[in-house]
Amino acid sequence: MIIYINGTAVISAQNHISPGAFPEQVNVPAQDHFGALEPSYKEHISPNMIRRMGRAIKMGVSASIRCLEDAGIKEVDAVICGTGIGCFEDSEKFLLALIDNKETLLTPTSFIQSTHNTVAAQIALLIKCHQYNMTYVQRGFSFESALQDAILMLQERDGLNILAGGIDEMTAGYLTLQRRAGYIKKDVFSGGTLVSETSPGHYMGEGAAFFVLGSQQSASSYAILEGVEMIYAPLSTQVLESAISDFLASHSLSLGDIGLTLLGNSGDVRYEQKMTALQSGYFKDIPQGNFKHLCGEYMTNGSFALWLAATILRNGKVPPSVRTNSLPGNSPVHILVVNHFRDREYTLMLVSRC
Amino acid sequence: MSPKIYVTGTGIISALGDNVPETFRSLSELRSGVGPIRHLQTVHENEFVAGEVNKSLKALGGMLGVNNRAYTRGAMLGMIAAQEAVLSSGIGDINEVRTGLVSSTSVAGMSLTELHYKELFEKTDHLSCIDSHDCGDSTVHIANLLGITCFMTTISTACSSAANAIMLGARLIKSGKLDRVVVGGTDALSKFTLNGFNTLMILDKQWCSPFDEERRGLNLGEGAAYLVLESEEEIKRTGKQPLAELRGYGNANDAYHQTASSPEGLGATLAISKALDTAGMKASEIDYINVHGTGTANNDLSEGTALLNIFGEQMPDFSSTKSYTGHTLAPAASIEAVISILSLQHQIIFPNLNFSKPMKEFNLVPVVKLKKGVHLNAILSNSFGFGGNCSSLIFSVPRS
Amino acid sequence: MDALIEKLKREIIQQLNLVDLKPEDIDADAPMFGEGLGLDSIDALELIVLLEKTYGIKIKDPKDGKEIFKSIKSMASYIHANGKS
Repeated sequence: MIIYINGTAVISAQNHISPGAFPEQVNVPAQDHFGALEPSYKEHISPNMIRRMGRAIKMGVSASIRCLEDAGIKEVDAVICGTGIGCFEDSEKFLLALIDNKETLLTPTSFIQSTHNTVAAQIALLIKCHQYNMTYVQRGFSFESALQDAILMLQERDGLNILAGGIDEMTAGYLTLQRRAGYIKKDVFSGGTLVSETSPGHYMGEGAAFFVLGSQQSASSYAILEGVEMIYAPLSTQVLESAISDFLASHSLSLGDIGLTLLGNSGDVRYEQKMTALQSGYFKDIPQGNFKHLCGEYMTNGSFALWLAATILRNGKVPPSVRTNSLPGNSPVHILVVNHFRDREYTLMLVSRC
Repeated sequence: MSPKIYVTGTGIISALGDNVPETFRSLSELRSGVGPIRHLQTVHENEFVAGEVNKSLKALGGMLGVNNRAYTRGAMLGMIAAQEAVLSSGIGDINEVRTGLVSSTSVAGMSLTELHYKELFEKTDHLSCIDSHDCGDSTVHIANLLGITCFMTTISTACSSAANAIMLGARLIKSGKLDRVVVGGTDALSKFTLNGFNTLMILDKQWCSPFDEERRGLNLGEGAAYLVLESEEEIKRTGKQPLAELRGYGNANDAYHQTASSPEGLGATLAISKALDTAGMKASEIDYINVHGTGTANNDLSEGTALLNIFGEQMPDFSSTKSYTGHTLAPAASIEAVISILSLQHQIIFPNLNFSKPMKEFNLVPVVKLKKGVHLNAILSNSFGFGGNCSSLIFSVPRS
Repeated sequence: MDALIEKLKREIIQQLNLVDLKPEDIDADAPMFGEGLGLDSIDALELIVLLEKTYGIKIKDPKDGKEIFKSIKSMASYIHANGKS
C-alpha cells in the first residue's frame, strides 16, 4: 500500500506564493519569534465565518481549503488535525474576560471557538464533510499522531482521500509567558541555520500545513509518505540511533539510501545534545538540512518539515538555504525528517520520490 | 474476519466514587453524585449543581502518594483511574509486550491556569502552569506512572474524546502496531467550562432530567476512566478472562453547527451505523443503549431522532447515566464504557434517574428503575461533542 | 428611537465582529436571523449579554430572544420599553 501526498498548502513565516514552490527569498525575521505571513482569508472563507475565527482557526481552515484545491478534490473521507496548544487566542480571550468580569456577563463565542477540535470542525462545516473527524493534542507528537491515524486509515480501507494537517498559533500573551519561562532566545534571529547555536532558548514560530493523502497517484502527487514514528524521551543518542535504524529497516532501507536528512534543530542548546551528536556522528556521511530557521519552533512544525520534504522531492532540488553541511546530494530520492520538541518528543518521517 | 479486541481492565474516579467497586455501589443504590459544588471555587457555587469528585487536590495527591502541587487536578484524576485499570487487568510488567496509552482531555491544565493566569505576567510563583496547561501534560504523567514508553497520544474532540481514544486504541491493536493499549480520558471541573457552558445557557440549575419533556439542560461533572484493551493473542498468551469485548466503533461529523446538533440527528445516526457496521451486527442485536443524554433541549431531541432512525419500532432499553455522574466532558465516553461493562458483567441496567415525562416529539421512555436479571449481550454507548463530533461504541459479553 | 437604533447598530457590529459592515449598510427593519444579517443561535446569546451589559435587561429564556431580536427595530423597541438606555 503506497501513500501519496497529493496536495499541500502551508502558512508560515515564509512567503508562500504557491504551495508547490519554495519561496524565492527567505524571510529572516529579525525578532525573537517568527510570526506567520498570513494570506487573505476572505478568498476562501466567508466573512460570516471569519468574524468568529481566531488566527489558529483561520490559518488551519485556509490552508486546508487551499490544500484541497491543490489536490484538485472537493471531498475527503477524513479530516485529521494535530495541534499543540489549540485555539489559544480564543482560550485567552474567554479566560481574561472570566477573570476581569469575575465570571459575569460573559459571551459564548470565544468559549466555543476555544475547543481544540474547532479547526477540524470548521473544515467539516465548510466542505460539508460528515466523515471521520479527529484532533490530536500531544505536544510534539500532535501532527505526527494525525499522520499515524491517516496512515492506519489508508491501510484499513482502499481508495480513500484524507486531509491531515498541523496547526499552532502564537499570541502576544503566549509569547510573553514563554519568554518569562525562559524558553525564548534573548537575542533576535539574524539569519543562518540553527545548527551551531550555543545559547539557551528557541525562536518561537507558528503556522499551518495541510496535506491530502491518498492511495492513488495523480498528476498533483508530490511524494510518497512511507511512514512516521514517534519516540518519547529516548534515554540516549544510541537509543535514538537504534530507533532510526529500525525505522529505516522496516521500510527496507538503510542509512546509505537517505539522500537528505532534515533535522529539527531548534537552536536551544539545552535540548540539542542528541541532534548535535546525530549531525556529527550517525548522519555525518549524509547530506543534512535544517528547517526551524525558516518556520520557528512550535509543537506542530513537523507539518512544515513534511511540506518542505514533499516540495523538495517534487521539484527535484534542495534549496541552498536549507542545507547545513556541504556533502553533495541535491536531488534526493528518500528524505528522512528527524524532529524533536524540547528533547522529549522525537519524530521520524520518511518521504520518497514518486 | 476482524481481530477481536478485549477489555481486561477498568478504572474510574467520578462523583460516584473513587474506583470501580464504589461506582458500582452508587449505581446500584441509585445514589447520584450530582450535588452542590464543594471544591471548585466559583461565584456560581450556589447557583449550579455538579458531579464533583469528592476529593480536594491534597486528597487526590494523597491517594497517589505524590505532592499535589506538582500536578493538575485532571492529571491526578487520570493517574488514579489509569492505575486502577492496569492493576485490575492483572498486568505485571507493562512493557513485556508493546503497550501504549491513548488518553483524552478537553479542560487539560486549565483548572490550574485559570487560578493564576494574570499573575503569570507579573510574578514567577506559578510559572509552571505554562508547562501543565496543554492537553499532553496529563497523558505524560499517566504514562510515567504506568511506565508506558512504547506509544502515547492524546485526543481532544470535546465530549466524544474518550470514545475516540478507545477507537484508536482498538485500531492500533488491529493493525498490529500494539498488543495492548490503555485508553480513556480525564477532565476536572473548572471555572472556564462552568462559565463557558453557562454562556450557552444550557446548564440546569437543578438536577438534570435527561430525555424528559421538561428537561432544562445539563449538569457538569468531572472524573476519569480508563480501559485496558488487549489483542486476542494476548488473551490466549496470558489465559486472562476478559471483562468485555469491544465489538464496534464509529465516528462521524454532523457538520451542522459548531455547538448544536442537527435536528435530524445526522452525525449521530452515521456514528451508530458505523459502529454497527464495524461490529458486523444488526440494530436488533443491541440489548441496551447508554445514551449521551446530557439533558439539553438540543442533544436529547437530536439523539432521540437518531435512535429512531436506527431502531425504529424496535427500540432497545436505554438510559442516560448523566443524572448519576453529570456530564464529565472528555472522559464521558470512558466513564460510560466502564458503567456499560458493569452492566454486562452484572446483567443490570442502571436507570435514567430524575425522569418523569417523555419528550412530546416521540414516545421514548428510558429505563427508570434498576433493572436486574436482564439478558444483556451487546451495549451501544453514544457520545456526541461540540464541533459535530459524534462517536458510538459497542461492547459485548466476550466471545470465546 | 432613531438614535437608539443607530447606537444599537454600532454595538451589534462590535459585539458580533461584523467587521465588513458599517451602520449605514444595515437595514433596521430587515430580519437579523436566518436571512438579512444571517445571524445564528450563538449570535442570539451574544445579543442577550449585550442587552444585559449595556441596557440592564436580563432575558432568562433564550427562546424569548426570537421575537425581541427579529430586527434591530424590534430590539430597539424592546429596550425602549424595558430598559435604561
